[in-house]
Amino acid sequence: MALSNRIAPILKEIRPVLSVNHAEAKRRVLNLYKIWLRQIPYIRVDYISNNWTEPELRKILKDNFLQNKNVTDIRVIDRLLVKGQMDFVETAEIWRQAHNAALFDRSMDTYKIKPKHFLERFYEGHH
Amino acid sequence: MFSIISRRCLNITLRYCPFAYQVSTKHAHTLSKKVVTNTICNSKLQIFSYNQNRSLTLDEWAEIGKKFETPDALTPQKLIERVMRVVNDFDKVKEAAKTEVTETTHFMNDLGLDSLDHVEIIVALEDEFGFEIADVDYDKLYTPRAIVEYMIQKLHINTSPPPLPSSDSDPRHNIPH
Repeated sequence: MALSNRIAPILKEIRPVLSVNHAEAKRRVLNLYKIWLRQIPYIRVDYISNNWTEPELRKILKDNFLQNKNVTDIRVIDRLLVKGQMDFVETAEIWRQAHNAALFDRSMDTYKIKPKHFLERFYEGHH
Repeated sequence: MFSIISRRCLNITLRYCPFAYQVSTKHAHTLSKKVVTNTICNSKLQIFSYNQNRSLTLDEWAEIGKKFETPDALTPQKLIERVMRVVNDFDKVKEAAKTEVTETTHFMNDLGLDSLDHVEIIVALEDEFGFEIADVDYDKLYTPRAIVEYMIQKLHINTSPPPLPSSDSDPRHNIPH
């Protein structure tokens, strides 16, 4: 309690990565979503071997964005934004291949999904 | 004799001269003619053509005019139709709204859409009307009524009723003496 009174105010403030407040971060997020949305028809064609349709791609995009919806720290949001923008550039410039692009699509995951319901666990043998 | 010579000359010129004109049969049934004559000048064959320049018919003018057609000006009624069509064609709106979407349905509160769906709606509107909607304006466009008013402001649509005909003299000519 006493120490926090004596710490200089400059140490209490943190340098922002990109945005200063939540409103600015939200604006950046929506902009990133918009440019991904506009790129979807081209993604479908560039990575045609994944057999995506545009509604599927929109769902994938939405799921990827909603994964991080509970993040509140502005600097973390900014880091995620930068990563998202880098991913966008790699996808748009076709520096990825079909498999890399398909990593965003969780429904194409090939690892074994753990059974949740009784019947599936029964078939597995673990009840 | 002369006709035989001219036909032979025609054949020769078509082979050697790169700018040979073909006799047009397009207007063969009409009065206009494109007459091609051949002359031999200094052992170098040249083709001259003269045609009787005829003025265009009304149909031909109409064909030309189709290139310069502009669409009708947007009225508020048509604007509302377009906006409602865009909003109703949206997948999540169709699922969320079992009842009809009116002008005052709020996307977030009534239909339960979130901000990402809102961005999708705005992208659809941008594609429909052909201009970019700025970030600061996203907050304004939460109901179809607000979208219509925004479009009226941005596209400079005239909402005032047309002037009623009256037998008064034109006030523009009332010059004060």
